[in-house]
Amino acid sequence: MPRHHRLARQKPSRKLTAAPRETAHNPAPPVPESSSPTTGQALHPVLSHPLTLLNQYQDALRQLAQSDALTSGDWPVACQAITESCGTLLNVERTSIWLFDKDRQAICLVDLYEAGSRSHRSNMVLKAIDYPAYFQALAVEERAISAYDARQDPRTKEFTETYLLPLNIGAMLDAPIIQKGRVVGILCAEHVGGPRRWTVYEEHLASSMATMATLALETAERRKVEQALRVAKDAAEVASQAKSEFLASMSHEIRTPMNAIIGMADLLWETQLTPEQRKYLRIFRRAGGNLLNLINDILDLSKVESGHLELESIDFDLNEVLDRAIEILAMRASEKGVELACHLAPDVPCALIGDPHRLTQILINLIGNALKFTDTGSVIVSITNDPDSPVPGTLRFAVRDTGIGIPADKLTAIFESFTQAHSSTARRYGGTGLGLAISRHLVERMKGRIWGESTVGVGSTFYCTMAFQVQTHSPAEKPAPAINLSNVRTLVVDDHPTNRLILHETLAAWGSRVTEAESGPAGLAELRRAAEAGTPYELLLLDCRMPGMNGFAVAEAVNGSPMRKGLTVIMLTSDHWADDIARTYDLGLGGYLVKPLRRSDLFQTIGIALGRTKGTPPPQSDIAEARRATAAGSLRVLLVEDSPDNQLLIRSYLKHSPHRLEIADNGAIGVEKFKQGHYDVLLMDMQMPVMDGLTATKAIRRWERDQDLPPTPIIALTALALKEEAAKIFEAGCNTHITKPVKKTTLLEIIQACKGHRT
Amino acid sequence: MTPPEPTPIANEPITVHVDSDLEHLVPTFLANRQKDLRTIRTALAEKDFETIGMLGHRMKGDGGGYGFHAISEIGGSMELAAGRRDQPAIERSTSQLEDFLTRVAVVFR
Repeated sequence: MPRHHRLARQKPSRKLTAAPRETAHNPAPPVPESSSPTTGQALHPVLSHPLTLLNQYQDALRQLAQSDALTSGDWPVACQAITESCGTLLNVERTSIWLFDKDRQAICLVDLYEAGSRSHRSNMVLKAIDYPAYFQALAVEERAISAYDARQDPRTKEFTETYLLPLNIGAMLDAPIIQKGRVVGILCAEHVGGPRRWTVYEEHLASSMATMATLALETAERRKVEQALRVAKDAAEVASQAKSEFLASMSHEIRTPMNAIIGMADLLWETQLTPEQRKYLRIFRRAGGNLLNLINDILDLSKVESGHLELESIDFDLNEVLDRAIEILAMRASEKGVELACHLAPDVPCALIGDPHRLTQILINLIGNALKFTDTGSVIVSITNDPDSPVPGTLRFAVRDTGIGIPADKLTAIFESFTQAHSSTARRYGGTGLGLAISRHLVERMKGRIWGESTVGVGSTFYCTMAFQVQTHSPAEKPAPAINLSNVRTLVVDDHPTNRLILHETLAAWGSRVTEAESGPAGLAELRRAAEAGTPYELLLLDCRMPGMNGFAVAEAVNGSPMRKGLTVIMLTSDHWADDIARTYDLGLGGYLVKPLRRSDLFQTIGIALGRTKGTPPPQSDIAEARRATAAGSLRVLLVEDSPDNQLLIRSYLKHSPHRLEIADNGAIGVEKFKQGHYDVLLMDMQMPVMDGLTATKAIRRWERDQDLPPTPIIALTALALKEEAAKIFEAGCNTHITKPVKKTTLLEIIQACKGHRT
Repeated sequence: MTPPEPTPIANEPITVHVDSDLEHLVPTFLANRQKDLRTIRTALAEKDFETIGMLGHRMKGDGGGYGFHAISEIGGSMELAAGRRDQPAIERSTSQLEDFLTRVAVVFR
């Protein structure tokens, strides 16, 4: 092959000297191309037996194919390996590899190996316009261009003056490099000296070497594509990360002033405002709150997506997490009149290691959604070991509701960001549409999955599985039950099977012998039967809201019978909270539990109630103090009362509590104060001069409706306990009533109960 | 807090146990009842049964809260008597209140 004109003139003398003289003028005998190896070339390996030669070629090709040079994807290195190997096998002075340029008007040297100096070089170009015959040959020859006498061969003789003579090249063997059926380059072997007859084997070898070059080229191109892909992928990841980081920092930057805006609105809310201003401010606060929620969700999502979210791995008690999540949502359930219950299967390990906060977040999201889309019926949370995983600590959470349901074709999409099942859903039910997307990410991070099943109009069940570790180091794996109910005969009366199941399992675990009844009459019958059999019940848990005969009717029936003796009655209340609590006290029952039931409350209440009944006076005030101390925040209480002595008494009751008390001397002042200020709970005396409590309560309820405000709890204080009076009090709009004299603990408990209802 | 003896012997002190939390409030409460006595007597002279009824109602409501169940009972009777405009009954209740206030001995615990 010719070299670039200028270079060709620089090198010849050294090249010629280096070339083996004795072979330079060796005449090549005219052997037919297809014949056996020639004998005219004394130093050539072709003198060897053809079989030996072929084996030698084959070994060399195999070695080359397996060499790092060829498989590495480094094209120039691969070419160097091929030219060296080819040069050695064919015993030629010069071997080179060329590739066509883009428009196929030139070929460019990739590598030239010179055997004499064992050196490689590159960077030369040969233009089609200068060597038309040779380029023509390249285009039409399917096999190697085998030029026995290069200076005479019509395909190569145009190189004679510029190249062949100066370099004393006598013969050329050029094999096309073919890729995808197209000649893309050429592998050239150049014999220095006279003509040389190329054997069939040599032609095949050259072609094989050209094929090697094709493979190396493809490997190199694939490597290049891979590299490009990797670069593109890295760039995309960097961009995505940058996006998430931008979102995270933007959300943070927005949150800071948002907090100030909302905080100022809260402060403004505390001041004197006209009803109209208050209405505007309420919309302002609500919108601010929604915006903040959205920003928090975006922040969370961007954290998850950018991988910034670090999951904790700490010891936690599953019971506590469930209690916390349920507590947060209990109020919403109670307000909607939806039964919320949580059942933890007894075989589920509770001492776990994982991220309790993220678990709480997921549960609140799923339960919150269920409540959002359920107007009547129930939301039941069930926790079991994952039936599809044998690994301990892999749990399955199911949240089943009796809500509006989700069409089947939307069940997957709702786990994507900003998607709700109906386009109208956001308008009607609110929400950012990010909750499930965040939950999905979190669940996946916890090696679990999340999915939903639903029937439109019947309800939905959302499942998620998560893998936690089970604590092995806790000294007392199962802490002794807080109270010992060994052999305490307990009757649970509740129309809701899940609640019965929860109570049954929990109390049985504490040693109690539990019987269930699904209605008031059934419960009474069972109480009677047991009393007659001489095995009376000691503990009665009564759901206060049951169809037909409610819990209070059952309690009244029990109160008027000998069965009451030795029986501790605990009322399970949910909606109409304060009313129920007050009635529990009025009926002299052992205590009350606010649904949804929480294990910690259950044993505390049962413990106190049993202690109370059995004559061991519980440290009542301590309990009340403790409850007050643990509850954060204070309530603004308005006492509407004309008697200075009672004002003083109530003031003294609340003196050491966190609550703030304001006083109105009669109903009229009370209504005015209520309109101007903002109170969490009202204590309303009934009989007062100027305006009595009934009239004041009615006026307040009317004003709240006009202002589109949620009803503020009003507790009636009465010196009367007549039924018809009580009926009037509730009709006027009071939530409950307390009969004077009011005990400090009762008052504080009832105010405490209001806290959960604060809006 | 214990209710007073059902049939107090004249001039014997009537011991009432009151929560010590209320110690600072009780003197004012009892002083206010002395004021009530005077107000009731004036109202009775003026036949202002409305005021008597209101004071009776307040006593009924407040007495027990402070631990003076006797005052609640007296107040209840007085409220009903005022409703009937029953002067002799009001006078009886007033005397009972006066008697109680004279003899009451408060023990804080």
